[in-house]
Formats: sequence, structure tokens, C-alpha cells
Amino acid sequence: MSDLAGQLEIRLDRRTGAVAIGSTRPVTASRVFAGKSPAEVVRQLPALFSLCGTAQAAACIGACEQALGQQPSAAVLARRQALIHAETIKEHLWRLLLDWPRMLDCKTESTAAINANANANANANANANANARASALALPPAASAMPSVMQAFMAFRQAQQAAGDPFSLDQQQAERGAVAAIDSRRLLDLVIDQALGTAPADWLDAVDRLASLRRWAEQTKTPAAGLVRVLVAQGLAGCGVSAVPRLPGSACQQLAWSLASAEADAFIAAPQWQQECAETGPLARVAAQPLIADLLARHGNGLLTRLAALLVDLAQSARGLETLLDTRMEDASDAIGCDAAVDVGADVGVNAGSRPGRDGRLGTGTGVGFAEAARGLLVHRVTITNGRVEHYQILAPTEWNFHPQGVVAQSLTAIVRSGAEGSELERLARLHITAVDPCVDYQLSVS
Amino acid sequence: MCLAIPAQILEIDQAADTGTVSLGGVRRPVSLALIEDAEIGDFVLVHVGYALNKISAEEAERTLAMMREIGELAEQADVLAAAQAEIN
Repeated sequence: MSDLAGQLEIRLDRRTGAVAIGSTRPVTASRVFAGKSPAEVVRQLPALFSLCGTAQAAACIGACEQALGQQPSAAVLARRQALIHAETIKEHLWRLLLDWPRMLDCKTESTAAINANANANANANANANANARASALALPPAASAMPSVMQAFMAFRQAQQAAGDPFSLDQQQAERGAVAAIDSRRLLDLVIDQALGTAPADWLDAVDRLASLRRWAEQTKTPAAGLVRVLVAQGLAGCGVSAVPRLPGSACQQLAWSLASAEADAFIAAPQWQQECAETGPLARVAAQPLIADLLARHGNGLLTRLAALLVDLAQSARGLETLLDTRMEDASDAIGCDAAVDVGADVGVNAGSRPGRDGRLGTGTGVGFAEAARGLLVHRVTITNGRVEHYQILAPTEWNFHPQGVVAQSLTAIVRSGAEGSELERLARLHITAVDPCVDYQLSVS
Repeated sequence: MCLAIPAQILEIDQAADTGTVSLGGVRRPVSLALIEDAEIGDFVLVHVGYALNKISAEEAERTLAMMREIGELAEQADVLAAAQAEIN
């Protein structure tokens, strides 16, 4: 049971730079929803995939609504997007306050301590390791506000659920939830106090080039600004550059067809875009933003660009949350990332035609839902027959980014070839894995 | 697919803000720093060594039942794959 979350096993050859990535992630876990009603799936799925439960809920209900021919209102879509923004803020603050500081500060720690830290949840049999693990679980000083972040997010989510659930197939309940007044101030204040030091919109305006990022980092006292200073001081701005392309926003239609193909299971386990590995996540989302475009030109997709992309994505999410709750934007489709109305393709073995039949009244049809989760694009595909889910598939960001030949594999090879050795090689490898961010535990072995 | 696993708190070390949970019958150390008012017997969602939030016993049991079912489906898939490999 405890191994159900799965794990990544990353092996790095220090002589050749060869990287092998194995995964025990349960990529076909969504089969558990076969036979259930769509309403049950919409209710249960976010509880199962709870780490990014809001984005999962959004992709799930998007798929079910398309399959059943339901069209949510603009207000419901906007509220769903606001809740995804809140979840992204929580996840990005976790990275900035907890994960990055640990990896950047561990230069002086022994390799044993680093191992205990990173593998804290992996093996719990030996008592000798238990103490090391417990101390590794202590929050780093930069993360003193992390409990407040979790509590602010939980309070925000509970307030929304008490008012009505916008992720409900019951359209009346979804509408009720969409217009409820929910206060996001606590979460937004934490973004300012712990990361940006100023209002998100002002930060995005002011920090638009490498020079202004460095100026901001020197003048700002937040833990996140400290990370930028340390990263630059350690000479790691261009660490781990690779040429892996970013998954374009226009990929959605092709992804929907890939999930309908006979090779869908293999695609879900190791996805590629146009016969190439691709990256999804904060950097892919904000690559066109002025600061990130400048950093990509100067440092490629190295560590400073990745850290800045996390900050930009955080600022955009905070600005989006504030805007969507204040004004109830009329049309949130741009923010959702993909147009939900894609051609879903034929379901192999179920329907031989070019388009499956849909009859919402009879509860029969196929739908594909998309959501930009904190770690990247989530795609759900559902086939519903006579009111019961026949087939459910999930394509998740980690399978793109931790593909055996993907962005992490290629970046780790680049780190070896840059000449890093010994414990420093291992530290930089862990830093890069943290920067791309798997949603599961991992084991790294350097040999 | 980011599974966080429901687990029951067995012991609490107040000074260290850590605890021991039962995760599928295995005792594991977890940080309790991110949640408020944790008590022995509470169910929490655990991810990479951190208790993320408290959940009700009913919600924990529902989620664990789904996870058991996923494990059984995965085992069946392995058996089928092995049988297919023998045929081939």
C-alpha cells in the first residue's frame, strides 16, 4: 500500500553521463474508475490524486462534461481556474520555501545526510536510519511560513466547498459555488511576504529582464529572493541546460488523438510530441514572458531560468486568482490552457468510426479534459456508456519530464559533461530534479 | 498522478514536530510541521514524508479501498502480461 504512490529510480553514470530513469508510478491507476458513474468518479478522483486534486478535478469534470454534452457557464469555468491558481500557489510556495532551500544549502552537508534527506520516505525498516530521517524532515529556516501556506490553502478550499462545489456535475451546485464570495487574501499575502515582496502585477511589470531580476533579488528580503542570490553566487545560472523542446499549447488536439490510439498505454507511460521528448510545466507555460525570454536567450533552460519561471508562474497565478475572484471574468477559456472542445477521436475497440456517438441523455459519449496543474499539463480522457464509465485515462506531467530520454535525463547528462564531480555532482543532480519537480519520491544513484 | 496516501498517526514527538504513522501496516516517520492540532489516532494524507492535511476516518477508508483495488488491478495486469508472454 505504501508503495502505491510509486517512485522514480534515476541512475547517473559519472564517467559517461548516461542516465537511466525507471518509474513505478501507477500510470494505469485510473482503470479503477471503470464501472462507476461519472458523478462518483468526479467525487472520488480528486481524493485519490490529492496532491494536485484541484487540477485533477478540473480535467476530470472537463472530460465528463464533454462526454455527456454538458456545457458549464463562464462563471463556473472562471471559478475552477481560480481554484487551480490557488493550488499552484500552494505547490510553488512548497518548492520555493521547502525544496529549493534544502537543495541549495546542502553544499556543506555530508552525502549521507543528503541521502537521508531525499530518501526520507523510501525505506523505513532500519531503526538506525529513523533518527536521520526524522531530523531530515525538520523544516529548513526558510520554510517557517510553510505551515501557514498549507493552512491558508486548506481554509480557502474548505470555504469554497462549504459554499458549493464548482467541480460538480450537478449544474445548480456548480453555479452556486461559482458565485460564492471567497476570501483569498491570506494566501495572496503569503505570496507577497514569502516570495515576491510586492503585489504580483507590480512584480511582473518591474521584473522583466535578467538585470531587473538581479536588482529585485538584491533589494528584497523574502526567502525566494534569497534563492536567486544564492543561485547566482554559486555560479549555477546556466547549470543543466538541455535542448528539449517545450510542449506547445497547440498540442492538445494531437494529445487527445494519441489517447484514443491503440498504443495509448505506451504513450501514457512515455509520451512524446512529434517523435520527440518535450517538457511541460512552469517553464513551458511562461516561456514567452519577457523575463523568461531574456533568461532563455542568456542561460538557456538552466537553473536560473527554471527558478525565475517558477516565480513568474507564481506571480501570474496570484494575479489570476485575485482577478478571477474579484471580477468573475466572463471568459476563462484562455486561462484553462486548452480548448476543451477538441475532437476526442475514435475509441479503439469501442467505436470504429472517426467520431464516437454521443448521447448525453442516455449518458453515452467520450470526452477529453485539460488542466494546467502546478507541474504541467494534465489530460484526462473518459468513455461513458449507458451512464457508466467504460474507460478512463490520465496523461500526467511527470511522464513527460521524467521520460527516459526527456528533459531531466538530458540535463543530468549536461551536468556530468560540465565537469561536476563527487558530492557536488550529486547535489547539482538533485537540484535539477527538484527544479523540474517530480510529484513522487525518487532514488538517485551516481556510479 | 500524485497519490498522497492516507495514514493513521500512532505516535507524536511534540518537540520535533514529527510523528510515526501506520502506512499500509508499516510504521513510518513523518513530519507533522505542516498541520495543526495533530492527535494520535488522526488520519492524515502523507506525501514524501510530510503529513499534508487531516482527513476523516471515512474518507481515509474510502481512499484506501480504492488504492487496494488499484493494487489488485495492477497484479491482474501483471498476471495477464506474463501469460501473454508465455503464449508468445
